[in-house]
Amino acid sequence: MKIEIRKLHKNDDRSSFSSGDIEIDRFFVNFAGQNQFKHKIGTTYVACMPKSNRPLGYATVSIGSINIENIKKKEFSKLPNYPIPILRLARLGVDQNYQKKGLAKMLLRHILFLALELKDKVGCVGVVVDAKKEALSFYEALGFEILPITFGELGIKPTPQTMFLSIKTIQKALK
Amino acid sequence: MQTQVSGYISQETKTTFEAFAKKSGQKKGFILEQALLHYINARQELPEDIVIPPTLTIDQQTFDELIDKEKAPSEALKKLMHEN
Repeated sequence: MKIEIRKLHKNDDRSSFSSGDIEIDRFFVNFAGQNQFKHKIGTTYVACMPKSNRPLGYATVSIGSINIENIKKKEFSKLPNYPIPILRLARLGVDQNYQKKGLAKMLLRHILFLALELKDKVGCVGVVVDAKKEALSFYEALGFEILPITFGELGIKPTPQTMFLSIKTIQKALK
Repeated sequence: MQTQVSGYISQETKTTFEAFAKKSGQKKGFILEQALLHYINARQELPEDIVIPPTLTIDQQTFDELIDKEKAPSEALKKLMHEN
């Protein structure tokens, strides 16, 4: 099966997308478009067959930053005194009929390469994912670690687990 | 009737805000109130669960242990990055 990863187009048919997760489907069908084309607060990449306008999977990302709270004054000098740029993978879903065919990995791989590109062009220290409970082992196997945050979690219930993978580790994996 | 609010913001935002106020000739209080109203209106247009917060806050220990440390990639990550 030949698959291409590209940005979501306005004329893509998202109406029949069904991953088996209501929240993942609702976001993609109803909000991924306006999120990208109207509000410009995130970009969605889709996995499609060549020349098809029917996405089989998607990943939504946005640029974000990490702030460090309660920095002790004596150690302040060694810590960055400005927000640290990251790429945040907020949603990733694959249609039920195409699950277990490697599409999630293809989408994630695309996002990791995007993070490397951002690192070179604007700066990026790593990728943050908001992982659902059932996806934790998938991300853990790839080296993502649990990122305890005090502010900035997604408004989804149940709250997904925030995880982090350093750009240095991603870069090392290419060697 | 007017009232006062206070809150911590980044130095970068403060600098941008002050430069904008100076350039536009508008009072800071007016800009702040308009910005707040725009923000609240924008947020009300969007359901809470589709907004991706742009900023994550962590503590210093997490920074030291996770963000600032270089770690070896897992075999699964190496395989993924080399797939065609």
